[in-house]
Amino acid sequence: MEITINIDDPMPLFSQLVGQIKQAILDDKIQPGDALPSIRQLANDLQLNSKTVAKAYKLLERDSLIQAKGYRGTFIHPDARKNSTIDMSEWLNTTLNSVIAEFRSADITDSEIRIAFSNAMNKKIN
Amino acid sequence: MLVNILFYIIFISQIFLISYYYPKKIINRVNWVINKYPPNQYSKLYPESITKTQKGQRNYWLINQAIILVGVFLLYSYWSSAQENPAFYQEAESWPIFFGMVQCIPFILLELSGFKHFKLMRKADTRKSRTADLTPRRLFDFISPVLIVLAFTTYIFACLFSLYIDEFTFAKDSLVIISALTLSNAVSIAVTVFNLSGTRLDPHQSTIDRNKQISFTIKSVTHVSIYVSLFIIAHLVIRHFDIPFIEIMINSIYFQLVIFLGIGAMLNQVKVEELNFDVYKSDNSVTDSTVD
Repeated sequence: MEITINIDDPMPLFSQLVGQIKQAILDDKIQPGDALPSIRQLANDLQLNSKTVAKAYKLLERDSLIQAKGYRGTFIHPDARKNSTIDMSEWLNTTLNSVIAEFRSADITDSEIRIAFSNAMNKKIN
Repeated sequence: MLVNILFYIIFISQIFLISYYYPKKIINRVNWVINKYPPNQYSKLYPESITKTQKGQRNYWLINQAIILVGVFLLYSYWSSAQENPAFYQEAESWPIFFGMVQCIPFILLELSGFKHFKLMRKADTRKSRTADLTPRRLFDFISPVLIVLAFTTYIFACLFSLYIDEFTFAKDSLVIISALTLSNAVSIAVTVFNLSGTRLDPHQSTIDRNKQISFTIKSVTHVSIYVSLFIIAHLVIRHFDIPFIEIMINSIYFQLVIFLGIGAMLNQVKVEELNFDVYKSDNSVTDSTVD
């Protein structure tokens, strides 16, 4: 199973990786339990920075599409096929748009929303 | 004296094998590729002018011929010295090793030239899409665990044997031998790791060919590691039991074995006819500018 990325595509490289692995799961080209290459191997093969591949793997793990098992490597999650139908980005955008619409309907200004959002993000980091 | 006659035969074999037979095979292989996959149709394989490639071949052959002359000279020197001193082999025991190191120079230059060639290919590769196989490359996918265990065991045994010969006094000789063995195995491990997870040197190489190359390289360095350890053990036995007439022959046989397992095995097992050269075909839209 090969994946291909396009460095000229406006879509970020890590998104391309995530999308292709997800599609491979949906198309049954890779099965639950199958091993994935290490971050270093994939980064070298695609001539990418290892942080780009690491980010893609982190997102896939967050979405329960892959499992990192330490020194044993990274594997496709047992429920990957079911989980690949859930789009976290879409949920994020839908929820955020809905909350912002609610704030605006309460006459809260965009500036107030931005400041509150920024404070909330900074609080989480701290 | 029989020992000297045996040495002449073995040393002539060393000169012939390492500086004539295998270099000739390599040159024939390169010529076969150039004739079957010419630059005007397979421009991606030739990032530089074909004239440079042919010049490199000539230089490679000339260096080997010069080394053959040095070998013949050494053989003559040995013969004339042995006329006066039939036990001259005791003084010339390191000749095959030093000459073997000189014989390895063209192979090292060839390897460096290969790295430069791949670098130019990567530089000339302007494709925007990049492909990778989603199958992980693991050590035991390419080599039997038995060979790895054998390499490790012979290394440990060689180190312990070296210490045993010196009665575990950690004498300088033992430490030098252990350091050399450890360094040699460290290089083998580095080569293995690079092949498994390092950058693809040839940007156009297909996954199948790459896996074949990785498999061959890892097996080759493992075999060489085993034979280096065995050579050290044989060398220590000869020294310990004071059998100098064998040492000079073993030194020559060792080099021939290393080249046989390395270059020889590569030429026999990695059949150039089975490699996929379609990946180097010129794009229809690209005008080839590498042909003179």
